[in-house]
Amino acid sequence: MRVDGLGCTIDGRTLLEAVSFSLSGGEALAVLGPSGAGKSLVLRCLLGLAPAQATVTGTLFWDERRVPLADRPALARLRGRGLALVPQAAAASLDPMRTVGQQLREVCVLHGTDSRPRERLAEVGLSHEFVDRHPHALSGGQAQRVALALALACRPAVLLADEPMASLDCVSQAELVDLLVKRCAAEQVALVLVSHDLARVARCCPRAIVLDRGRMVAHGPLAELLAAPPDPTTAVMVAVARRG
Amino acid sequence: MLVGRGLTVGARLLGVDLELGPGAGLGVIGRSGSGKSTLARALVGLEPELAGSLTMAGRELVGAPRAAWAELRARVQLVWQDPATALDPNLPIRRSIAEARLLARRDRFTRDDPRLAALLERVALGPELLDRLPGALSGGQRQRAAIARALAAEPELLIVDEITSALDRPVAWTIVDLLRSLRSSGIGLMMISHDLSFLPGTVDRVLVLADGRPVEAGPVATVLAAPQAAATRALVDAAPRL
Repeated sequence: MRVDGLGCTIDGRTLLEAVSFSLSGGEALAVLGPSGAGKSLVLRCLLGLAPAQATVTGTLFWDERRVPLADRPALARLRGRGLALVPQAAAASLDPMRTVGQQLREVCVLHGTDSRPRERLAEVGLSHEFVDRHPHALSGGQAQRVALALALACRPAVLLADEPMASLDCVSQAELVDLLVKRCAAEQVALVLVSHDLARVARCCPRAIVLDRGRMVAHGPLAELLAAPPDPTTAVMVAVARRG
Repeated sequence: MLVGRGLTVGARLLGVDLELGPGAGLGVIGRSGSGKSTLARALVGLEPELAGSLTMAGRELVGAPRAAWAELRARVQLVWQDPATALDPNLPIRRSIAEARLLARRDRFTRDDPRLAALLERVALGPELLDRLPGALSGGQRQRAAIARALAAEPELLIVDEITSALDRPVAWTIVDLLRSLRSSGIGLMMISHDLSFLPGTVDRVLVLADGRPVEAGPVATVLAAPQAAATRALVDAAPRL
């Protein structure tokens, strides 16, 4: 997958400008930046889910295909088997009226994948008893694992994870990041991990792009960005991560 | 002095002891669901099932009438995790601050009250933000507004419940620096956080909860450098490091 020149404007305001990156199967890329940098908007644009009034420009190169990022129906067709999302607020993304098992089966039917909820849950470290639970009976960490199971149940080529550990305690954060990386590596799924926490993603993502106010201010191997931050935004993120 | 002995809330909090005197600094850590927020809510009278003993200046609050709790709430203020939902979305910040003073039975700030200006300066919030609704502020500004609202009650003790978790790290550190400056001005602080890096320099002691029970307590440097309980070790091991 290659994203070339992604831009997004709303009411004349430029929210994203010339964001470009590429990744291949099983690779993990971190999308870093402060709040309001446009990290989540990048994911929404790739999924064809930018706000209705937004004008999106740029091109997604997908295998041999060239998909304009303004072509929402074409992007919608990539959702599921192409690109799947693990949202930030997992609990809010689940249907409160239906059990975890029902939601997993629905995703598998929609995307024509193998429907075995118990195995899907086992892959994310949840026992079979979670099949019959409703979202209100899940902890934050469990809800996030269910959201990951739902995304992986699509059997996507690329997993987009939007600050999936933001509301979890540090033990759950570490466990979830480990799980994300292991599952993606095991299934050769490319991972785009959005985070504002450089220290948390430093060990699991070999490459990163850094956004600030919608512009890509740095990109490259994360080790190089840490060793020699090329711009003030990255320098602040590195300094803060070193502070703790 | 706020003293709790055997504080228990159903099965969510089981036998917590603590003492929070003037200028105290206590960190409370633990995994999600360990009882940290239940403890915070219990200390301001928001857990009707609270059992054990909780005294403020020697006066027992468990089982006491509502009037006793109302007096405590002026002296002990809680700042919630998510300022987006903690502040009334329909009240400009000025009115939220006025409401806090009213509830704490403090006199009203006049429009150009120097105490209001001093309060805003203390939390590094621009006066131009006073007449805005919470929705028009950034996450960091909202959390500063929530702290200003709590300080407007002129409390002796501030309880902050994961107040940096919705913020990115540079902004979170500015809030932690603010908490440190408040502590050095004499306010007691109980800081709930699952991010251990914020605790040294901000609080003196730390209490570790697991499944509602206190499993370890001691000076923050000792507990974090040489954790004894398995729950503490798991938290320390999971902290991200570069």
